[in-house]
Amino acid sequence: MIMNYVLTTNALSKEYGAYKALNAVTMHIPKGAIYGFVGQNGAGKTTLIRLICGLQAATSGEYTLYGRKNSDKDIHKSRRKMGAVVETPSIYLDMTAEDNLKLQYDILGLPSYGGLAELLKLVGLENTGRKKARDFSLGMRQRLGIAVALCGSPDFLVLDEPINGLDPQGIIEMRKLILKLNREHQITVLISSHFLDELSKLATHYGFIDNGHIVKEISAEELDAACRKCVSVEVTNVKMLACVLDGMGVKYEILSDSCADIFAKVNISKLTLALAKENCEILSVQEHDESLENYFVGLIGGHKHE
Amino acid sequence: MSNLLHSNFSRLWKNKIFWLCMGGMFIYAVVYMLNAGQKTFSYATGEAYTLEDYYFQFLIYAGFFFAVVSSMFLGTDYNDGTIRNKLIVGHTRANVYLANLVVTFVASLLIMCAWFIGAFVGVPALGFFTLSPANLVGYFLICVLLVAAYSAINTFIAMLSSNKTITVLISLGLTIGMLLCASLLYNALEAPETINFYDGISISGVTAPAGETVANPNYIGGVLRSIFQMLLNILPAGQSVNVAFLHVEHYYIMLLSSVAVTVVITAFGIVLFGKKDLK
Repeated sequence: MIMNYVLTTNALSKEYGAYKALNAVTMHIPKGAIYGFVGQNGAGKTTLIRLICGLQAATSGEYTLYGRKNSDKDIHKSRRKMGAVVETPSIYLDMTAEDNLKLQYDILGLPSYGGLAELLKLVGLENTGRKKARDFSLGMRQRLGIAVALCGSPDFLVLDEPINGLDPQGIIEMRKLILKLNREHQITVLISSHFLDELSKLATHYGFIDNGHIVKEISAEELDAACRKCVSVEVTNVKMLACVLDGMGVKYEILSDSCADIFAKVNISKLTLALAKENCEILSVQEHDESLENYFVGLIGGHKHE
Repeated sequence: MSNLLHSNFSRLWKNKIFWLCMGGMFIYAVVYMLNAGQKTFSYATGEAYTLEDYYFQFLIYAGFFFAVVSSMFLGTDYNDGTIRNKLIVGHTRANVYLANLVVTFVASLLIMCAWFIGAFVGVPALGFFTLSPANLVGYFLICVLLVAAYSAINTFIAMLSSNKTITVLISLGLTIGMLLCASLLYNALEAPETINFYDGISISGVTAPAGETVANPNYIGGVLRSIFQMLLNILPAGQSVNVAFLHVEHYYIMLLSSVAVTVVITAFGIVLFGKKDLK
């Protein structure tokens, strides 16, 4: 199957003096995806976003946006299809939400201000009236930043750490908005974040970056399959549990004198009987999936006893 | 670029600093000319002052108004991060730079017009211009191109500095620096070639009997005088001083100098802005 990509990068690098912020990054963002761009602070997420937004030039390598290479003189035509919020929302603080959108409409050369009210409603800022953006909460500013990025109905939305600093309600609203944009408006979204739990509720694809290098690209389905099932058990004798699990050929991790994680879908009845023979009781059992966080930590070199 | 201009001007008309400078310049003009109207006769020359003796003096201080408006207006784009909105949607850096230069030029021009209009309150006391129409047109043309040169300098600073506060400080500092240089050059050129000793005192280390005329050691002559004169004609602040004190001799040199300053600084600015890493 031929994948239709909105953005691909090929060995993209960026150096600031001797510091290599991006090191031959190759990534692929499929059309219609919510691409979770995962990495620690300083891993190179924002640098890559700055490059694809045309805010900075790459030291080497190339990227293709809607079929046009960055060296193409018509790359600006591809950029017309994208909107972005890079780091902080790009809004005039001494203006109202409506005036901010009107200015962006002017920048884009849109023939009228039609659709402006709908856009404000979409991001939940329809009742802000004459209130200046400087008096908005952080969440409201983030949503206004997204509204500005959505002017001109882009097909590709780039959001750099959109939930940084938001309160729990703000995070929920942001998640709903991103999902709505993707599902109802068919907008492809590139979202960088280090809030992995939140990202796992949104992303259809992931790109993991570490030290300026893409470590892994994976779809959400592949990630689900790759994430091992995990059963946390609490027992009276953890050494006996280890012996029994070794006998069963199951991978595990001892957490404390009484707790362990078992990385397999074990038959609880068989395990209980086997432990009972060794005078070991099971006190509690809890089944859960390995989280995106664990996967990420494992990927970038976190240690795990198996 | 028309979209960027439309957006820039929409923002300019809502910019409080711009209207404050416009109003400030107008009030300054009215107060200055009403004050000038109180002194319509020069005891030194024995001649009556005319409108033009005061009318162009605003140019000495206008640079400050231009610097404040330009740096505050353009600096906001960096401060609020909104310059990114223009580039992300595909506008070229050259177009963003030129659109900012145009809006800075028009804003500065309007501030100058606020002075010109306000300064007409001096007409009842000082009368109308006594300059010939051709000279008057020349003076106004020099003023317009001078504003373009100032705008090019202020835009250059604002587009290459990512910090609004630093932009304001550099713009104001440079304006002060240029004005000081121009004043020093002007004063140096104004020094008389000879000194008359009326009472036998020592002037600048030269002592002579009373009533004798000697060469002024502070007089700038020869090649250095030509260089100083050229600098005054070329530098925007130098032109400001020359126009303010009605010492315009080489209209074309001053007009061409302003065009050259505008073009060279803008070209240089576009190249540097094109290479600048934005955040």
